[in-house]
Amino acid sequence: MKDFTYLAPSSIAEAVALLAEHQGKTKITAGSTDLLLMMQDGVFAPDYVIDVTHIPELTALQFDPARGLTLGASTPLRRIETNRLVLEKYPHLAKAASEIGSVQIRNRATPGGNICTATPSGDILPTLISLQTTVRLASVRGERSMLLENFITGVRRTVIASDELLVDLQIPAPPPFTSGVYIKLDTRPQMDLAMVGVAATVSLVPGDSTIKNVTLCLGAVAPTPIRVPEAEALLAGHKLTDDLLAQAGQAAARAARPISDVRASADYRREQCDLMTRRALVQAVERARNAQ
Amino acid sequence: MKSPITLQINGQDYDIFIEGRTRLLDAIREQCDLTGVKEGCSTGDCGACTVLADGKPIASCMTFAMAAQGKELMTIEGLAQNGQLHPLQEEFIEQGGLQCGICTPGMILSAKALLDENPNPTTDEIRFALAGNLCRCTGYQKIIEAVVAASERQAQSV
Repeated sequence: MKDFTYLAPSSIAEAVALLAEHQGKTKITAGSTDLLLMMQDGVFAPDYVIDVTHIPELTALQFDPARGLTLGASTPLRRIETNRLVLEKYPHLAKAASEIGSVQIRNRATPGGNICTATPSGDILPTLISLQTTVRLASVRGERSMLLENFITGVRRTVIASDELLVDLQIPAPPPFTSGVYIKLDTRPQMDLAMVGVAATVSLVPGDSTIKNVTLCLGAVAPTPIRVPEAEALLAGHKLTDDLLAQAGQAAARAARPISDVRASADYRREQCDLMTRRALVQAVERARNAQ
Repeated sequence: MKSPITLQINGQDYDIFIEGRTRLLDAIREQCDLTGVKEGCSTGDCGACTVLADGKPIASCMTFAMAAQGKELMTIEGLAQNGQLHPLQEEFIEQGGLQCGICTPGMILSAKALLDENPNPTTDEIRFALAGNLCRCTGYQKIIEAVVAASERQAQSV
C-alpha cells in the first residue's frame, strides 16, 4: 500500500476545506473496513486519507417526531443495529445493519461507507431507499440534499463530487401503522454477501389493513438497488390478497436485472425476487398492523 | 512518513512511530511487541486479529493504527489480572475450546465483549457474537461450551 498523510478534522468546515485543498488526492474514511482493503489491493492510492469520525455531526443518531431520524454518516452500524429507538421505529433498518459482516466489522463500518462504496449488495441500501432516505452533502461550495435512490448511479458509482463530504442521512418519521422488513438471501446467517435483498416499508390506513402506500426496494439484482414502482402502484389503496401478492412478486421479478456470478445464477435471483417480495409484503403488513 | 503517536493498550501507553498506512495489527505486533494478536486472512473474514477498542471487538487488520489513537485497546495479554487467568481463559482450557490456538486470542476477546454486554447469553447469542471468529480445529461446540461455562462461573462469583 502506498503511504499517505492521515488527517483527522474535527469539524465539517475543516473537513471540506481539506477536501477542496487536496481535491482528487483524498479518500474519506470512517471505519476503513472497505477502504483499507481496496488500498491494499491498489484500487485507490490517495495522498491524503481524511478520518471523519471526530466530527460530531457525523456520529449523530437522533430522532425527532417531526424530522424523523438523523443518522450521521459515520455512526457505526453496530450502534444502529442495537439502538432501541431504531429497533422500535425502523426494525428493518436495525435488521439490515445487523446483516453486514461480523460484530468486529459492524463496530467500525458505517452507513456512509456502505452508501459511498455503493456495491449492488450493500445490505442497508434497499431498506434506506424504502424509507425514502435523503442524504446531505457538504463542500466549500455549499450544501445539497437528495434522495438516496438518486445518489447511487451504478456499481460503485455515486454522484458525490471529489470535494464533497456525506454528512448525514435524514429518514422520515414513520406515520402510525407504518413498519417494514428487510429479507436477505444468503448461505449463512452472518459474514456473507446478499444474493438477493428485499426491503419493504408499508403504511396502512389506520384501524384497517388497507395499504395506504408501500415502498419496495430490491438489492443485489441490478447495478444499483431498485424500486419496483409497478408493484407499489398496484398495491396502494388495496388490502393484500393472494392475487395482488402474486402480481407484486411477478412485477419484482420483471424489474430485476440480475447477473450470474459465484453466489447465484441470474435465473435463481429473479425467481427469488418473486418469492421474497411476497414474503416481505406479508411480513411488513403484519408489522405495520401492530405499529403505533 | 513516520509520525509519533501514542497507543493505549492494556492500560499502558506505547509511544511509537508509524506511517499513515500502518495497520493497527502491525503496530501492535511489531512496534508494541504484543504478539497475542494474530494475522489470519488480512481481509476481515477470520477474526484472528480481533482486539477490543473501548471494550468493543474490532478487526485490527482493517483498521489504520492512526485511527486507534485515544481509544483504550485491549489485547489478550491484558486479560489476566495479577497472574490470575480470566474465567474465559480458564474455561477454554478446561472445556478444550482450542487446539492449535491461532484463533483463541480473538475468540476469547469477542467472547469477553459479549459477556460484558450480556452476562448470560443463550447459545444462539454466543454463536451470533462469535460469527466473525473462525476456528478450523474445534468444530466450535467446545468453544460455545467454554463461553457458557465462563458465564455461569461469573454469575456464581457475583
